[in-house]
Amino acid sequence: MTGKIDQAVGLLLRLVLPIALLVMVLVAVLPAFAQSAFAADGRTGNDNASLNDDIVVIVSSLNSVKTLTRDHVEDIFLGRMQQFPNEQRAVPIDQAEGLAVREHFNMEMLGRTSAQVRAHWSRILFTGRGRPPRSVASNEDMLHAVAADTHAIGYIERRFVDDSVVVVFE
Amino acid sequence: MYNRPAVVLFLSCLTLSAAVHAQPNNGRWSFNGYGTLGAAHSSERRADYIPNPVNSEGPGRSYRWDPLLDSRAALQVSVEPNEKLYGVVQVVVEKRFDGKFKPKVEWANLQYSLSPSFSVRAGRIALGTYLVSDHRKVGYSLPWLRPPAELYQLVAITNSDGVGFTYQHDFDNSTYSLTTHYGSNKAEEFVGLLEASNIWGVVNQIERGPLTLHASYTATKVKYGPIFQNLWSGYRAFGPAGASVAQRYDATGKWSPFIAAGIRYDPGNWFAMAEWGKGDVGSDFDNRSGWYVSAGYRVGTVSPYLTFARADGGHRSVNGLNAAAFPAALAPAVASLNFGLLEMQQGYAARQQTTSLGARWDVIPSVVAKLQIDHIKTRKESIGTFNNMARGYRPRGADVVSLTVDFVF
Repeated sequence: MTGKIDQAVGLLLRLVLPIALLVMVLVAVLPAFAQSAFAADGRTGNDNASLNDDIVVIVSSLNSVKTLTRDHVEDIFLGRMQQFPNEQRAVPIDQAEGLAVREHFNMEMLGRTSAQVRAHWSRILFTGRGRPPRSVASNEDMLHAVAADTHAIGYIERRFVDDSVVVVFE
Repeated sequence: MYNRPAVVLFLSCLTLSAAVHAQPNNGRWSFNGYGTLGAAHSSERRADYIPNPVNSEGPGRSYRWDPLLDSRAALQVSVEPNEKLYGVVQVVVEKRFDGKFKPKVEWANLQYSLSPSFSVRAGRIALGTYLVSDHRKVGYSLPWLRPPAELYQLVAITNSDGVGFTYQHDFDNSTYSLTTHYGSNKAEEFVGLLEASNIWGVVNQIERGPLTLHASYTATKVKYGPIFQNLWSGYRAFGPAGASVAQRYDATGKWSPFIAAGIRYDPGNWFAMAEWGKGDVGSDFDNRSGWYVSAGYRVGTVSPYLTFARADGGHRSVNGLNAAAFPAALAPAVASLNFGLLEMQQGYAARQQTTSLGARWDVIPSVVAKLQIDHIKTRKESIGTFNNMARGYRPRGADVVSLTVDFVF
């Protein structure tokens, strides 16, 4: 009988208490993070529609590809496809991590949160099957990088588009 | 209890992570890494919970809180000299079977693209036996704290030294990939050193939007270490009857096939996965199998999940020598051989089921924290995935609670 009680107390001390402590810590810490996450969403939420409408996928105007489907864009940016439908090599370029345009591109065009996209690339990267796309720091940099390379494919806010690139998906 | 080199490496990874992150990617060389810092506790204090047979100790009898069951750190350097060639070296530091922390090369291979859909690889390459086997060590990339033991313990090796060919093609909206590989590997486990001088296999994967289908066939020819060899020569010393036992159970020189199939559906807000695998060693130890079903959903940065897994196979008893057929003086020797054989049989196939409840929390973009509670029950007189208990003691199960922090850079 005392053995049973000892066991129960032991189990309580060893299992339940650490879990309870952890839950308490999580409950204490989570709202702070959740709030900041929601705050970030809320901030971009205001111009959500306009930013969303504005993102377009571009290639160099020297590229013979003039249009792509959502599946093409998804496959190229997730590393499943290394070429355009015309069999020319395709090299995706990302915007820098943390930029709203990248978050929106991931959600709208790839249908994934940035965390999911990162987990996807960590699977490919750490099994030696490939590397995530290189990234550029701004819409202007993206425009120049894509315009200069017939293999490149990227995305920018529509107001940055000029004659040097062609919108292949919007 | 914490191993200093491991902690130092873990910390230097974090530091490097910050330093490297600040640099622009120049496109040729890249330097990346991942790691996990964890702790696991088991309610069964008379045996160790060992979900992966490449470990020799675990939480329970050896450790009240085992900090090294899931902890590891890895660095990877990759280079792309031109658009056709890709080289990668990954070094992992984790607690090895011998208890040491000598860094191990996980992959080191060169990949050459013959065409956009056909590539060849040579060196130490990843084995894609299961849906997540090639990245099972990258905690960050997994929805769970660790892959379900019931299935993943069946094939513990993750790489092979040899060559691989991959064919990848897009058929309207689906990406199909076929990989064949041939090579060798060796691993130290409880039954001693296993040398697989011949490993070949085929891995098929189809991805269509949120759906992934995976199927693999792996065949290995294994050379078993001295523990097995001593047992067989012990039996052979008993004449034809003993030789017959050795012949029925000895799997040396025989092909052991393993097949696995998996499905994953991940539309974004939730995911569901199921996987099954079965193999044998071509001897009277018989076959062994494992499967799991798992589902989870994502609420903001928190992703709770529930997994049910079960392992089966092997036998409760062994068909060894009949002591009555020998002089009484030999009875203890026969009993000892039969006991050794039974232990081999027990260790070969774990019969066990686990219900796991856990949550992944994406703390910041490259760091996640996970909590998992496993309710483990051994089945049909099996010791399950437990070990290091007193002779004759059979664990009925355990509740294991684990915490990890995973990062990538």
